[in-house]
Amino acid sequence: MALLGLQPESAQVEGEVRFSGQNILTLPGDQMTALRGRRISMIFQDPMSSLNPVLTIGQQISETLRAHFDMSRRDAWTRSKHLLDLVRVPGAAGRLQAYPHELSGGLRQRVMIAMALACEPELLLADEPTTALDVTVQAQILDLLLDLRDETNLSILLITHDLGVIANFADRVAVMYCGRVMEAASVGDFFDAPSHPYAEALIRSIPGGSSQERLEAIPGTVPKLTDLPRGCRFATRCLRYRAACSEDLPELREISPGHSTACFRAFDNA
Amino acid sequence: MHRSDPNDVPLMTVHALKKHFPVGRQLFSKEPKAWLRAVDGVDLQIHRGRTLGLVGESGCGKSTLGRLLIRLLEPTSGAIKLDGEEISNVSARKLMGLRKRFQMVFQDPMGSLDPRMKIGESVAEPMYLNGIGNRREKVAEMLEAVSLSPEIANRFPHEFSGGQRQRICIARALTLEPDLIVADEPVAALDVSVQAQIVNLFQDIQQKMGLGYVFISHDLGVVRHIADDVAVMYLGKIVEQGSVKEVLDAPAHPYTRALVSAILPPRPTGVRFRPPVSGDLPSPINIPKGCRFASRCPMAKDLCREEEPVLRRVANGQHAACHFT
Repeated sequence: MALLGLQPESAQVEGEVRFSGQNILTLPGDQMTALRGRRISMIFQDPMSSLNPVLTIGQQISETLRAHFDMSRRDAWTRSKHLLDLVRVPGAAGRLQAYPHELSGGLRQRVMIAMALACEPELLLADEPTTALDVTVQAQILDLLLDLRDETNLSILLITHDLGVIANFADRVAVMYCGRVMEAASVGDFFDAPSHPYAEALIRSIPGGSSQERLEAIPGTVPKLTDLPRGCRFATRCLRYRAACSEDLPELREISPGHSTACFRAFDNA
Repeated sequence: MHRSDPNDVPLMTVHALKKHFPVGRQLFSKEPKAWLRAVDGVDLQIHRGRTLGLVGESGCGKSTLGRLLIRLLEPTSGAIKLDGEEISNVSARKLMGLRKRFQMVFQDPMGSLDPRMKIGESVAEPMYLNGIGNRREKVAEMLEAVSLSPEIANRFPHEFSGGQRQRICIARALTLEPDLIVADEPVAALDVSVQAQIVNLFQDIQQKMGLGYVFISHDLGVVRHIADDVAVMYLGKIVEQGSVKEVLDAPAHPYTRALVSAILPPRPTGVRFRPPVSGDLPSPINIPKGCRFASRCPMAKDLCREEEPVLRRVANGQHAACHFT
């Protein structure tokens, strides 16, 4: 949300977000509006509440197009049909006249993707795009996103809590805990050699497939974001805790090329 | 351990259970325009000390079935027997007494706790309704059973995390020492790191108290972990059932096979994952003739579009409703 400047006005945002070399946090409002939806777009978890229930699918996709391009209604409508074809909606021409409630969850998410891709963005932020969908449909939507990535040279930031989705659909992964990145690595390194205790614990808590064995749960609960501990935010639940962890906040540092971690312990043997 | 033999008299037996909801109304008539066949002829057995996993996609009727089992909904037709005694048509008064024996745990632990009631009051409510005394001690005992401190009885739900609230809901469901708990997606709303804690808790309680569970979930990974038996639902019907091993390791119905292969491998495989089936669930208002899965089935033949298959035995305890298994 902060990346796109979508957070409420009361939120304080610091730091830099560079997009193609330009810090977009300091962009004036109108330039940000031009960028948002045009070069960076977003899809959300719940496709029902992100679509307008009283407008047809065709009207909503056309609206996006006409907001960014000088386009006639007719051209926008034709382009909308192509977009629905692109996201593999069967019978696209007929679906343009449909209202969101007439579509299934999977089809609605396809429509959301069509809208997000309407202006051929360079970056797509997908916030839990399949969490609200069923497993068989989830696989279809993620497969579609990968196809589109390859067809249109799109970059995707996929936000998910599902490690299975990461394992099968991502190239690189960053693990967040309480507002900070704990570990960043290629997907292969992350699953084979996680270095942050939180990442290790996450991987261990995946149901392994063999039934009835006990799951390894992470003890304790996530601290409140309004009341964070002083040092490492995972310290209270960490199996490799030592006193220094509650003193200083560990910074994200590289342990091998392309693999960074924010844990003091990870550098003990180095 | 209380794990009983599956050949014992089942705790609950369900036969030809149906629930149809009216949709819309015709002009000048009391007849509805159409019927939504949420549950459309289900047979099940639930055993003491065992867990039945009920899986399927959203809209397949699994939550409706869960609610029918504990009589939160009136069935349209069919039989539900508890220890051999018919309960699908008992009086409201008798039902009140029966309710002690089956409890439910819901998906959203915030929505199922009254925000203005203290934890202790919420947990004691079932005992209060049933006129059972000694509530304070029992509340403390139940909170301890779910690994919470008895001191939290004086606090309010908003002070707790999702996982803690789900523990409170479980404590409340346990106060009357039920024989059966129907848990409808109890971990779906929780963080992954907390899901494992709650799944372990369900297993510990079952070992201690020997109760039967119906565990409704769309997550086959969790079901494989917690359940002994599985029933797979598709558009209001059970298409396959049997032990976890039989059904998930050697699925006989093409739909179960699709569900199992839609589980993402938990670790990178180096191969691009491909979706097993296309399309999604048809509407339960216009259920197609013949096999309900035929429109998405990779091996559908003419027969499938004509004749609806019935559940047939394919292995030891495994049954599937497919013409071609």
